[in-house]
Amino acid sequence: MTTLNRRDFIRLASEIGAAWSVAPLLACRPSEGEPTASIDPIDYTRATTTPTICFGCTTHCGVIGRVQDGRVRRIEGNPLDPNTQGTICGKAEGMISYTYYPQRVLYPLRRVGKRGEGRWARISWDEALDEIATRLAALRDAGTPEQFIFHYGRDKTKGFTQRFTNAFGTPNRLNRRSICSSNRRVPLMSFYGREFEWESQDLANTRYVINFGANPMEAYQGGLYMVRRLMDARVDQGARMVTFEVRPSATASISDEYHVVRPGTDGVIALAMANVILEEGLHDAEFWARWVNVDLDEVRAHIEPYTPQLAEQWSGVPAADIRRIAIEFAQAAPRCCTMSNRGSAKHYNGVQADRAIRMLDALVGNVGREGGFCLSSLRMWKNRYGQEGLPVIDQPAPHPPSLEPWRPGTRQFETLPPEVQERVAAFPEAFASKYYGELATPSEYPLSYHYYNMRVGQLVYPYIAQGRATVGVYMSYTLGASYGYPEAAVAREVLADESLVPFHVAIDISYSEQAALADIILPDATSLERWDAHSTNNYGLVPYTGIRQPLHEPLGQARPVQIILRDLARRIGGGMDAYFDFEDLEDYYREWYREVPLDWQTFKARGIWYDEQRPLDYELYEREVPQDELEGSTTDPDTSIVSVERDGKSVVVGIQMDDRVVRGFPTPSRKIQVKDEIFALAATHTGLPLTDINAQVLPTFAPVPEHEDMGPEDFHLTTFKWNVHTQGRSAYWKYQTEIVHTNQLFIHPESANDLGLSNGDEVEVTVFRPKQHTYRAGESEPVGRFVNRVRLLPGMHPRVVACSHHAGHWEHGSIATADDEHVSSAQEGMDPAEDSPSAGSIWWSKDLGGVGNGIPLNDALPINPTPLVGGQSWFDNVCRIRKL
Amino acid sequence: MFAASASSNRAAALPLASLYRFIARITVTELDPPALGVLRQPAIRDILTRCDPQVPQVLDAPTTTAWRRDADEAFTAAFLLPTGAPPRAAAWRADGSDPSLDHLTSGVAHQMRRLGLERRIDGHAGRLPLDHLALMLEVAAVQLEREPAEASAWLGTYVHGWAARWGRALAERSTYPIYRAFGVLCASLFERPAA
Repeated sequence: MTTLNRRDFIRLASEIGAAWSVAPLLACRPSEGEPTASIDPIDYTRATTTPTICFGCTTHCGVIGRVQDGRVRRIEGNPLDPNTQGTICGKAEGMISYTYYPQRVLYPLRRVGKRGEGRWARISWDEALDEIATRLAALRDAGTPEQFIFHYGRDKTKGFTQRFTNAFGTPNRLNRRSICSSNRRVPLMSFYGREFEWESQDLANTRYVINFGANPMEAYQGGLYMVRRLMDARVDQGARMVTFEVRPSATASISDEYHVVRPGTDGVIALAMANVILEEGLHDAEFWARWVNVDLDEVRAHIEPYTPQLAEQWSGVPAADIRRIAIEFAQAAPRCCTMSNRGSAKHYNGVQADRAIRMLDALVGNVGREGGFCLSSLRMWKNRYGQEGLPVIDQPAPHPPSLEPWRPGTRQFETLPPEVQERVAAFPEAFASKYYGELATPSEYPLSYHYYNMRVGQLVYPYIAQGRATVGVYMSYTLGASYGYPEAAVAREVLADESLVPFHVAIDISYSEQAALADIILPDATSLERWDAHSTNNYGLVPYTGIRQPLHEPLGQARPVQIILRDLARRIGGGMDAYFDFEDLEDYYREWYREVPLDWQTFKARGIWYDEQRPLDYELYEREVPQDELEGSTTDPDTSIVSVERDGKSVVVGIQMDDRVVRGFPTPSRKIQVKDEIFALAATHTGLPLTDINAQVLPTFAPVPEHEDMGPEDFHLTTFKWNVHTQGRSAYWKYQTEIVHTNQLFIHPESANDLGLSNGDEVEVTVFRPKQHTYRAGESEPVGRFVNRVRLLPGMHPRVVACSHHAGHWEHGSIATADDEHVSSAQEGMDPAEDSPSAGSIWWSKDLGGVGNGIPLNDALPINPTPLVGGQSWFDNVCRIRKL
Repeated sequence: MFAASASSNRAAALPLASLYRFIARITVTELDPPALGVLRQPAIRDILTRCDPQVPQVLDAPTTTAWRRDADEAFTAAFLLPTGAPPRAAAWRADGSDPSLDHLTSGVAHQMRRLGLERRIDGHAGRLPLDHLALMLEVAAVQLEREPAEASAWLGTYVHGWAARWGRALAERSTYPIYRAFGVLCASLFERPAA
């Protein structure tokens, strides 16, 4: 490389000084700010303190940001948050990493090469918004607003984006719930009602926890809230935790007992435990009779075949342990609870497995009891069940009207493929009234939208490719489908095809694999730069709300998504602008929180509000309905359900019990629905055989089809998350990725020995398709292959290999890609790390002799939606391993 | 190395301030007619051509729409995309004692306050991050104008080293001759003086 000398610079400086005599300040302007002597990184006498809500993962803890000189220096826990009680985890610091990431997208970009070619030019916001609005307005003008697809990955605007899509007139506001948790939400909503898609175990007061594959120590919505209480309960009260897992997760590792279980067999263990509890007479017969919708004898007969011995055959867990744990659990009632998540639910039989697990709580009568399996208000407050007496927290008026379903005779219905029309035309009202086309409400998966719109995100791209929907404008918002969805290559192929996706806008904070396939990228403000409303279930059992507020203005020209959508709505016009009539986001959120009984400044200063006098959310179902609500009520003589007329509609308010009207559960029967006909109904109308496990009305077990005939050379391939990462989103957060940056394939030492493998050996993993009633089931060609290195880990199930799915990015910049390509001008004698572009800070880079950033394996995992619900069966994969 | 001597010489200091501001400008906004006017000055053109022999191909070409499109794309590729060379200390500086860059950014903010500067939030660049090279060079430029003896210490603490590393990366990663030339130039200009 040429070097310049002192003479060159004098000449250069003089020439520039002469040619450019007026030197405008581009980056700075004069200020009258007070100078200070301090250059301390953090000076608590000078730093501002602003509470906000973390966005490091899905838990959303109350935090406090310390800002000095316009930069966030520290993130600390907010002690006023009743859920966290002031605790935070390392992911909170991730917000600092991603906000100041030097490769963050800070300006609107328009592609100038072919889509996906990586060639871009900065454009102004006006140019970007005008172009997008023109295309969107054309869809509305043509009467085809549904051709606008808004697909998000992590949208925590609490409905603001839906305000936009509803105002626009498209039902296609898609999400990634099926990728995440729909299989575990449906059992909860089936049992306890729409209001309770997530539970709030009273872990602070529990004595015994059975954990089926949940991992709150590392990755769980609410994990931090739970772990804090659980650890206290274990230390202070001697609470015990038993975990069934396929690998020694952090949660398994801190449990009193960790039982290695074969994937997909949690359900049979739960059913066997129920069997033992009934056999031993340890159930709460009174609770069951009062609050469960099915006769106990019917259940007893149904589960009789599921003995501990049968469970042992399937799961590998000794029958004696299953029996003992069941007895210990029941004896601790009501101070006991179950816990489950992906480990049990993300299987072909996972919905039924979670129903079986939930039945254990109903059986021992711990539901809503102190120390038991509790339920607490979870969504924004609109005076729903469990929110009685709370202030309404809702977006400011006017609200866009709801969209009409696509019924036979409507224009949209006529655009559907004939076989879909036939299916939907025969739907019962329960499904027909919620049908909005195949992307939003895939007709083969009615339980993905029966309770609310959980979608089947992994089918969006195949459906577009199959022509089940026409796309005019596709907008991804913080979505990583092109990297993180199963068979992610399908997403990339569809997004790269301009005949299928004519126009793609990506809103994100980082240059992701998804954004790389856009036509325009819009830079989003980070969680430290924006407003959001917040509410979630509280494991302290008091409903609370919090506010995410900006700690400083967005960097570069990034803008909050709310402002982006507002400005688009104004450009699109046609009445949309009426719903976005605000100038200042703070004013908008002040109005959103108008009923919170704190003045705005105090609320902002605290960041959190809850009613300290409110009774804890124990036994909500036994709470009496106030007399004034019962005026004019009628009671169904068969069901004892009590209803009133409101605005011309019959509204259920409770159930008659003894001589009282109490709330009951917000289910159709007003009781816990251990038996639910919705599964058979959905199967009947989608062609799923009624013999399939997913069609069963009582919790049932059947093995995962592709697991039934696994040969000695076959392994289960499972994926998992690390405690410092948030799926693939966090790979460019420096602090997180310094700790975990790769993803070896974990395998039991004995299994490795059988294959002749030692630590670090390279293997090729071939993954096969599932076998029954799901996408491309039964095809013999493998889904894909990947090459990785093995790491031997005692504690693994011997037939399971595990690989985290967060690594191996090829976008998101140098931290995620571990790109530290050596600069060729290294001087002789210089330390290679010191002369690398990052001066060795990406020390795990292969360029510096490190292990690299791992491998992407999601391309090799099959799209595998569970029948009816659509949750991705992430953990059913069968693979073979070959040493290289 | 040049800054250390020039900053003690007031006659050399003012042109140097212009050079720093010009480099700052190059990193925050696309090439425009005023900047081209400077780059086409014979002496400047000569030096840049020594840094990258293809510079004349760009400077001598008519500034058509296609020329502008290429220049805009080159700017984005060089300074805004992860595959380029973002002019941010966070990407190139790896001081083990300051992993969060709190010391560095606090120092930048302190100097800006002391000199009566604040970040712009309007304009093409918006609100630049505190570790952006352009902010540090603005500070250096103002120092050279008001208190030239302070500038070399500032550059030595906050710019030298990482900015040279950034310059080398820019020279290697950019496909645009002018930015490659600026990479070469900055690699020399901001090299840490030998102890």
